Amino acid sequence: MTPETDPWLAVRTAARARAQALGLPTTAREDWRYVDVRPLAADPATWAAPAAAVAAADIDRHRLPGVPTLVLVDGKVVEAPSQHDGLAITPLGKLDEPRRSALLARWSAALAVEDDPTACWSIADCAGGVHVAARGEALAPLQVLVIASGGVQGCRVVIEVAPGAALELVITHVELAPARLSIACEVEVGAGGRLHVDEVQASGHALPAAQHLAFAQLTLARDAQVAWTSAAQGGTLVRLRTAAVIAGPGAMLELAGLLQLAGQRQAHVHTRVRHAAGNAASRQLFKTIVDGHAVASFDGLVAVEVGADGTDAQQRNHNLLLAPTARVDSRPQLDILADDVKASHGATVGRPDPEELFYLRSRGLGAEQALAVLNRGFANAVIERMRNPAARALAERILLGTLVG
Amino acid sequence: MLTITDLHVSTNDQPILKGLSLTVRAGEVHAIMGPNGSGKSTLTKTIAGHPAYTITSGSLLFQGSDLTALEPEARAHQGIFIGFQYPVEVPGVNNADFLRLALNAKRKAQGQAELGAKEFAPLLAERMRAVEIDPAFKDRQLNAGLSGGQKKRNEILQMVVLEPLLAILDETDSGLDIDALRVVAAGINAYRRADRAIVLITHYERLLDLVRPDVVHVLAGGRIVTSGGPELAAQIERTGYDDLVKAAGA
Ligand SMILES: Nc1ncnc2c1ncn2[C@@H]1O[C@H](COP(=O)(O)OP(=O)(O)OP(=O)(O)O)[C@@H](O)[C@H]1O
Ligand SMILES: [Mg+2]
Repeated sequence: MTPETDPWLAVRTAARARAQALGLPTTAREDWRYVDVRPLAADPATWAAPAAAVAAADIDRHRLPGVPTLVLVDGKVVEAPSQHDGLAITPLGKLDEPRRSALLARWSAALAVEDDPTACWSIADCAGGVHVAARGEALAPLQVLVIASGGVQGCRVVIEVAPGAALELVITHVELAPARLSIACEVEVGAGGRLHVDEVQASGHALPAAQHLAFAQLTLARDAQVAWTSAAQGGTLVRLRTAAVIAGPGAMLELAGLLQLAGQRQAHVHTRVRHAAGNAASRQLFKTIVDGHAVASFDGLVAVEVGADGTDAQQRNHNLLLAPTARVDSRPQLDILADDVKASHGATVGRPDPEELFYLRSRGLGAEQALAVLNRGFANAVIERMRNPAARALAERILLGTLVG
Repeated sequence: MLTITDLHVSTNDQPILKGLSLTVRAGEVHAIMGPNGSGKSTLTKTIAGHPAYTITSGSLLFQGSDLTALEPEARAHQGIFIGFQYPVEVPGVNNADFLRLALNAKRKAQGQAELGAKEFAPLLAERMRAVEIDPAFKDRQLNAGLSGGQKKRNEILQMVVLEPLLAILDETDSGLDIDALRVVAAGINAYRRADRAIVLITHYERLLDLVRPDVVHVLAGGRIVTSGGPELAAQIERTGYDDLVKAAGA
């Protein structure tokens, strides 16, 4: 497509302009204050050139057993399950009207109020993406494998769960070479719809220069249920930003995340849960294990709007510091403007308990194995929320530091 | 099997064990009784290799070789097991997974093949039956969320899975209901074997009526002050420790 006929170009250009106007994030900004932002200024020459074609083996090793796979390489859908009943999978480039215009309008509207330049990049750098629409009940799970081969990549995954429909996804994202990957999931779950997502950042630490910016934008209608659990091992810069709007009563949103960081890696969780309708619930549980000189943070806000009475919101962030040189910051926040609200938040930072370590060792586990068992125990409440066994296995490999991507 | 000679142990620079000597041979069951705070649990943790307890003098031998330089896990691999007075809660860790890891760590150290989940499951089921533990326990967390008595029974389960040569059970009977005490006692009796030794630390003769010890020791003031047969336990039950300890000149 030439630029004049490319319908996506105008909004991408606007996104680029918006990002430039905002400038690079600095730690002076509230929502970036715990992040080492220097990698964002990286010279584009540090990125590997995007591959003309990705070897089949590079795709295959990231396939999860027992799940059909939808593969995107540098934003392009290169493989989609031939048949997946109740699910319509459409590359963004092939999206028909009026859905394309609606999507573009949504992006424009979001850009107008967006003040995070990296979120603008995810549109500006968007080379493509996919639209996944669930119409049926109880579909077989689907893996969405998002691969960046190099360069600066933006990929958008638009997920629509129709009223009463149910969808189970495992989203894995991987950089095959030094790259910056922005992956943005835009999610709408209709009345009574159910979405379950297990998400794994499957690379990063083997690639010192890889940067990973994940966005999830969720809207839940009346009685919708969303459970979204992520596991990440950090990288030069990994940031997981989730913004959710609870738009209807009876909805239930469960966000959970596990970060396991070592060496010089960093990863940051940023959540904004907005209760716009009352009598709905949200649960957040984020757990972090940091070792070495790693840096992590949790910055979460639950906002209960005027009129969202009867909201039940919970936010928890627990951190395990394995080394005094590692750093973790936690900022759980509540902003409640409604009545009759049940809201709680809490954060802890702890070290491995020497009595627990001794107990395990007295039963024959070596020091390292005992620590691994403690870490596994600490992470369990998050891992057990993952529904897909293969995703759970990936999360366990992240914990053990054996997931190299 | 276990030879302790003139052992002195401190914790936080505070001497607790002050010249304790004890010999336990294969096939024997010993009981150690003694007042609160006399150093019984300190002895068990010293034998297990807890880093908070420092041996300042004396010797600690297991099957003729020095234990003191060994890490806790190496002691376990050699066949030492402590049923702790206060089993530690390890949240989020699955009981069965942990038992398999522990058994495999020991098997690996002994050059045996590790057991896969499929091979371990029937073994665990059999051992759970043997000590009459509800099969649901395998899916519980390691001690976290268990009652006091359940934790003690879980220690016994660990013992029969790990099959130590020397099992030291520190007040395993405290906190057990009367039926559980019978079950645990039966488990301990079944565990007795010519090549194994058992040390029961207890405050109550009740357990020793169910598991007859060969020798009963009184630990007071950081030393074994007197030893005798099962009748010593009966005497303690009647008269308490005061006279005994005075008579021993401790
Ligand atoms: N880690 C520790 N730090 C400080 N003091 C300790 C520690 N462990 C034991 N002690 C002290 O050592 C003494 C002996 O304690 P120990 O637990 O060995 O007694 P015990 O004979 O097992 O008592 P009980 O019958 O109540 O279980 C006590 O005075 C106790 O306070
Ligand atoms: Mg004690």
